[in-house]
Amino acid sequence: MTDLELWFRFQQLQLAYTQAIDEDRLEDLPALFVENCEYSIVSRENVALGLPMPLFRCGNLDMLRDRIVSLRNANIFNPHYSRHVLSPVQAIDTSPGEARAATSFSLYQTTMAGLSSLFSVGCYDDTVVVGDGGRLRFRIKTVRVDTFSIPNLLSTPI
Amino acid sequence: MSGSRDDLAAVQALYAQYARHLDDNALQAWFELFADECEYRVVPRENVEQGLPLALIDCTNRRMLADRIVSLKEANFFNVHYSRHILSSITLLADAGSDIVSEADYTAFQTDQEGVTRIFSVGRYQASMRREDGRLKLTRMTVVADTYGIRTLLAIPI
Amino acid sequence: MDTKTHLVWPKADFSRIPFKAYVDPHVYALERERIFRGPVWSYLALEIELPAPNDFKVVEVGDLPVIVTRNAAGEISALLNRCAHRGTLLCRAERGNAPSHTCVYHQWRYDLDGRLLSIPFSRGINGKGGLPPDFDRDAIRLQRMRVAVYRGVIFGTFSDETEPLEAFLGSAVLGELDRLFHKPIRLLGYQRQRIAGNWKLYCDNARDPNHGGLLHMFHATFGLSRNSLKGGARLDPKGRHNISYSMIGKDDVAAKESGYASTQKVYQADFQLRDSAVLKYKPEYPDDVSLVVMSLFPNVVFQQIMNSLCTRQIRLRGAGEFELYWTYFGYADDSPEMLEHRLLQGNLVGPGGYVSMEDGEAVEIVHRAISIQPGAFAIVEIGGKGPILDSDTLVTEVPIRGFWSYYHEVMELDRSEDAS
Repeated sequence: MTDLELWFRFQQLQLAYTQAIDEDRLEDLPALFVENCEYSIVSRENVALGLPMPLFRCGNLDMLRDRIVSLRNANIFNPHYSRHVLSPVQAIDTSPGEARAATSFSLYQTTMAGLSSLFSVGCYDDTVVVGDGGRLRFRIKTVRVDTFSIPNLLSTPI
Repeated sequence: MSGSRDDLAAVQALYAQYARHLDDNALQAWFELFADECEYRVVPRENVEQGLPLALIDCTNRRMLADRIVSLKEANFFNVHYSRHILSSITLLADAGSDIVSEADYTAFQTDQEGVTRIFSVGRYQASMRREDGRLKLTRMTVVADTYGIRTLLAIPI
Repeated sequence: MDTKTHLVWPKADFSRIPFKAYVDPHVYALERERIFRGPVWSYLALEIELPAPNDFKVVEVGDLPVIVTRNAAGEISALLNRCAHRGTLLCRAERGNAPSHTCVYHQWRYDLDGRLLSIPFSRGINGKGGLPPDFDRDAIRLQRMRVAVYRGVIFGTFSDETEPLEAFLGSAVLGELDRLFHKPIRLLGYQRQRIAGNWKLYCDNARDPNHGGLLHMFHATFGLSRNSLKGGARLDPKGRHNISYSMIGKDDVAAKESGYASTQKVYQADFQLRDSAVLKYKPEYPDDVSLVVMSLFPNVVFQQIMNSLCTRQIRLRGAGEFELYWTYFGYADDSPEMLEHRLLQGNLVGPGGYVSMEDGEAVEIVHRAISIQPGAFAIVEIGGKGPILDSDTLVTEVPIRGFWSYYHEVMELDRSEDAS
């Protein structure tokens, strides 16, 4: 796979991730990850201080599936639409069978009354596995949020 | 217009590094993206539209830009924050001589020490780039800021 | 009687709470003076956050910014973060290490007990300018709090009239602090959550054992804090502090079935997690208590939710907003497995927590709906009316009345129109 092709597929995977959230197709998220994946949301404050406490932590794909089912059936949270606006995937680093890249993101939430506000900005630090036919899936997705004072609550993935 | 895929990829990579270095507060690395002969200006959109020359930041050569970096480190005090830049896709324009000319939209966010993020500036990057020692570098970066009512102060480059 | 801050209390037992108390900006301004500068101990920080001499951290008491610092002798001091000259914010960093603090505006420098050390150009130049001859430097000192530390927990008060810390907290609270901080702790990290509501709505929420198993589906379904569980609420003698507690696995099954029969969605007997590690309790105290939510008047909640431990400091941002500042800790002797377990169990709490996210939403939807009619009242009768006593059931909201009875006292509110 050429560098350009890898970049293109990484970009498509990232957009598949954000669009699944934005279009309320959360159930499509697990297909983008490998089974033994890690998905975390961490604050830039704790990263800077070297402290381990995350905002959100799924140590495997089952925990991510649990989160999604919970949001659908259990949790009470403010209903909203999400909208991600991303920078292109950048700074790709490859190793055998894997690639790692950073993507800056902004995320808006819109209330059911149609009022949009900025919810979070930050950076994705992603490691993907290159599978059959060049298909990419996330093995580690770490969402580093600059906006570590969470407005109201953190329900849908960032 | 050269417009080759390699050119577009290289231009994209340079914009990505530009944003990334600012977001990581790596000002020295950001400075090194500029060619030996370069200009860096931040101009309010209202001045551009009225044909007025006054800029918010106006570095007409590399030494002035170097001075800005040093003064940020040593002399000026300013509100401590994290920045995050989100860029749109790049538009390639007709070359000016041997320089590749391009534009992109930007949003610059700032997050304060309490983790609250605000939009700091939105606008357009207008850049000229040239290959120097095999690497693409900036000969001109003009930041046309729609957000010319600067919130508090403009310290770190946009 | 000041009509702007006048509140009506139709019942002597505080079972009717005026919505005005939550939404009125004049009441908010009075709280700043009567409570946060008043005769109470406010939570500042944990000693472990200031390990070395000259370490400092800026926190908020209500909305008053305070520099908490360990001086060279190892003692903790707490200074109002405002220069005595023209009111500039003195310390502009969130945390750090410094033997003194210098104001960027005019370079006035203070020591860690708030005494003024130097003013540049104080004698002017060639007899012109500078300070007047009668300027009394020794009278200039940063406002500061008296500080008291218990089991590594730092409290402060602005008032000279405050009773000693141990009397203010009372034996039940001291016992719970002894339990939570029975061995050295280790800092795990911070979370911040901005909620668009009045801070006292959060105080109500934390003093409301009854909501735990009714709002929080995770609590009800997985039995972390079902209303039918063995548990209750202990108060201090003035009812101002509250310890809500429950014991996982100690359930009245018949009561559970009938109690939840009329509810919607909250108790889902068939709901299962694919990975239930997050629900596992690894007992680490000599009792069966698996959940403690301890609220201390005015500004902090201590949490033990199974193995997730933290303090939640309430920082005010006007009558309609506050920030919860969560400080998570474990124990210094935690194994790597226990550390990982605590981090995973963090999924239950905080702004993204399976349980805690819902409290943020509850506060906001109350605030939105009460703002439109400040003259109406909340009804607080679950668990009983009249005396404010300990409960040995979770089906109670009596601790909320305890909070308001003390609020009324410390705010020195007029009672001329109250019911007798």
